[in-house]
Amino acid sequence: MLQRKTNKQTNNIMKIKKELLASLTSAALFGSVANAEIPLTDDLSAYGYIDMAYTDSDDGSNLEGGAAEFELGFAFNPAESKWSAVAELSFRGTGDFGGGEKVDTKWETLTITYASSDELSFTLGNILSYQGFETFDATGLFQYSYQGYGNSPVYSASYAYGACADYVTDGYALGLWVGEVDDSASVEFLAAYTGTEDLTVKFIYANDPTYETFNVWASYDVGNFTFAAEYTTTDTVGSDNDDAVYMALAYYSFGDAGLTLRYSGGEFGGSDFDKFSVSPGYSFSDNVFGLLEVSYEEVGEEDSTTLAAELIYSF
Amino acid sequence: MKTKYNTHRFLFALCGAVLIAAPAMSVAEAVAQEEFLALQLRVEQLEASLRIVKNTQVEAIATETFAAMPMTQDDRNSLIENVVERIQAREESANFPWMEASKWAKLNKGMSPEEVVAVLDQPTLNEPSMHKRVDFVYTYQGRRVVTAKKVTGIVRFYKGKVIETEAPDL
Repeated sequence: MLQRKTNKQTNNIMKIKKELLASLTSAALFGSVANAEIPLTDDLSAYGYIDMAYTDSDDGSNLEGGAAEFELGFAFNPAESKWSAVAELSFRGTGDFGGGEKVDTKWETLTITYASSDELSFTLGNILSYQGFETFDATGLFQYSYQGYGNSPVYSASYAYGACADYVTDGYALGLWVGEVDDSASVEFLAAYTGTEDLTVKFIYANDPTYETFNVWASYDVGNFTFAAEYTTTDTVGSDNDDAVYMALAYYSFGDAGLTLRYSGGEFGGSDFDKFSVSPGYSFSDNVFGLLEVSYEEVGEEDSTTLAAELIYSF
Repeated sequence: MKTKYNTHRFLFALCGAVLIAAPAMSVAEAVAQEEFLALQLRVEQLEASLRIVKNTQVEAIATETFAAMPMTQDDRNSLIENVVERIQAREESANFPWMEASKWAKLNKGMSPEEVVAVLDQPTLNEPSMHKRVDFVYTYQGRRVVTAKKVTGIVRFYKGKVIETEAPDL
């Protein structure tokens, strides 16, 4: 299963939630983790999700899936302190995850943040890239697959160690991330406009010793519709196969149910492709969400259709 | 790629293993889930008993105090009931300030989380939602002081504004 990407807003929402009342023993914590009740302390909160997914394609591959990911995160947010921290562990299946045979464990967000004011903060640690309308975690996606063919994300970065400074207001946000790759600096810059209600526009520029990426996207809510468009281009050092991918998405909410239509296409991984996805979804509760997806892909001269089913329990 | 920090992966895996192993190592001292649930039930029973004792004490004190006052029996009974109700209301207001229907009536769509907290006080739970048109949910949960009835109220937010409320059955 490929990794998923998220934008910073979505992840921050997930991180600062879950302030629960009482303490609980470790046995109760891990014994009933799927019950969405993890009482910790006022300063320490826990959150996460379990993602079950199955896919089947007519390209000759077998039905694949099972427990795709279990994520467990802890957020330390003392009310009177300017310091906070987040630690997330991701358990992903690399084989028969349902049977617990092969599990790949990784840190996702692992950060210490100093908020010098309500707007300005400084963060150090393993930080998620600014890139992308499509979220890293499954909980933020409108459909199952990423916009690239073969369920590939089209962004050039995900998590990386470094430091960032973020300035966020109601109307706009600026961010700068700096890391190091092979003794050279890797940087990412974010400029976001949120000054118009229901409209979000983000521009991200990434310059790394191995690539240069421009990512721009916009989303707009009107009535029960959400519309989004995105363009991502990446020039890879030493490669003639530079990527340029367009994406357009429309989502309609029927209350607890919703329907996503998405088109993506362009040049990616050295191939021209077109992909069209239809994905109905349903929120069974605030904690449980399920969806189906049908994606038709045309990569070069080859085409395929992929079916996916996914059920997510967040807590 | 930023993710090419492969040399650190072993250290991260080791840290992860320690974090995961820590609860397992304390299994001998940990409380089993069944025991925890039994304890939780016991605590609820004790709280119910305590509630009865407190109410009885309040009534006894009030009865003793008012017995010495020059009133008719009906006036005394009425006064005692009023005092007991007032004390119970104060206790509920102190512990669960959101347990007032009038406060929920003040909530409107478009209010900010800060405005909601100003009316209802801090929520019992604050958690994200899987609904695509809900960002996070404030849950207010507690038991009525007099009846011990469990009541729950919900406030849902999207893009920083209230989009839906479910008032508790008070």
